[in-house]
Amino acid sequence: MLSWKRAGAAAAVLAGGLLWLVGSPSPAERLAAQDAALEARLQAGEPQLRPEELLELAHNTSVRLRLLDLREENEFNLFHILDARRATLAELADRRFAAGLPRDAVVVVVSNGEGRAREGWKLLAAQRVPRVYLLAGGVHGWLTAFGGQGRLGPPRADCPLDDCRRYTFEAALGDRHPESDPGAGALAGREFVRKVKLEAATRRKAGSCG
Amino acid sequence: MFPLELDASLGHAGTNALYVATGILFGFALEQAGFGNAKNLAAQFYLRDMRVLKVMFTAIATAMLLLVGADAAGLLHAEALYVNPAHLGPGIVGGLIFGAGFVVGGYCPGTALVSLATLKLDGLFFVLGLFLGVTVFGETVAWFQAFFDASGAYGELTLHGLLGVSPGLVAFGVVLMALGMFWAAERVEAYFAARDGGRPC
Repeated sequence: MLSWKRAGAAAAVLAGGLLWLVGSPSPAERLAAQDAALEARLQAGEPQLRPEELLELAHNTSVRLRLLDLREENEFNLFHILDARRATLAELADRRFAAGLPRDAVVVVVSNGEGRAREGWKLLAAQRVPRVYLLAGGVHGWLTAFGGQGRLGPPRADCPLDDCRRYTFEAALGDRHPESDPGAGALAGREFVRKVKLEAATRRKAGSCG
Repeated sequence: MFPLELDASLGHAGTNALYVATGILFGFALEQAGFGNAKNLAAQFYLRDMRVLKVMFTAIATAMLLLVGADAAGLLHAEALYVNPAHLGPGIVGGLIFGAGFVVGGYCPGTALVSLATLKLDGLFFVLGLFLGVTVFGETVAWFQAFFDASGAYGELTLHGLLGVSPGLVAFGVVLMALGMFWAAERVEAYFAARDGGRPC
C-alpha cells in the first residue's frame, strides 16, 4: 500500500514535471492578458513623462535612470538623448531583459513619437517592471521642448502617433548634439507635472526566515 | 491577481493585522513541527534528528511549486515579487555567525520566539541575546558599511535567471533534490540510531 510520504513525493514530482512542461507565461502572453488595462492607463496618460521631467531625472544623481531608445539604429546614431541606450521591442519581449533591469531604476522608453514607445512600455509594464514610463511626444517632443524645433519637419497625417522620423541633422553625432543634453539650466522657469515617485523608488520590502 | 495590494484593499491597520495573524500561524506551524524545543533543533547538527532539514526543505519545495504554479496559471506576477539582492560577502560572514549562534543556542530567531511563546526560559535568553546582537549590529554597521554594501553584491539573482532555464524546470529540480536529501537524511538518522543503540544524543 502506498504510504502518505510516497504519495506526497509522487505528487510533488508530478507537479514539478507538469510545471516544467507548461512553463511560465511569456511576456507576450502576459501582455495579451493585460492589454486592455494597460491601454486604459496609456489613454489616461499615466505613464507619459514630460521631457522636462526626464531632463530633471537625468541630472538627478540619486536616481538610477535607464533610458531605452526603441528607434532604428540609424536614427539612434543620428541623434539620441544623453545616456540613452538602444533596445528593440524583441529584446523587451525577452523576459531576461526585464529581469536584468535594476528594480530601483526609473525606466523610460523612447521612440520618435509615442507609437513604438507605447508598445515597449506595455511589454515592460506587463512584466511588472516597477517605475516604467515613456517619453511624452518622444524624440519629437524632446526636440520641441529643448530648442530643436528647427530640426523638425511638419507632422505627417499618415503616421500614427507621430512615430515616423521627421528630424534632420547634418551629421550622425549621437549624443554630441547640443539638444542631447540641454543641461539642468534649461529647466529654469519651467513648470511641469512630475509623475515619478522617487520616494517609492527607495522603499524596499525585505524578507527573512526562520 | 497576486501579489495583492493589501494596503489598498485592507488599509494599513488591516494589513498589519494580517501580518500578525500570518506570523502566529507560522509560529504555530513551527511549534507543531517541534521547533520550539532547542534539543530537536540542535540534533540537526549532530545528524541524529533531521527534522529541520525535512520541514524546511518541504516548505521551500511546496512554496516553490505553488508560486511557479500560480505564475504558470496567470494568477501571480512572479516578477513583482521582492527578491533579496545577493551580497555574498556579508552573507557568508553572517551565515557563519548565525550558524554558530544556532549551534550554541539551539534556536534561530523565529524558533526562539516560538520557544518564548511557550514560556521556555532558554527561549527568553536567546531572544534577549538576539535583541542585543541586533542593537550592536545597528550601532556598528557604519564601521563596515562598505563591506556590507558592496562585497559580492550581485543584485537580485534567481536560479532560473542564472541558469537561463524556465522557473518550472528549477522547481522540478528542487523537488528532486529535496526528495534525494530526504532519502539520504533518513539513512543518516537510521545509521546513528543503530550506532547509538537508542541512547539520546
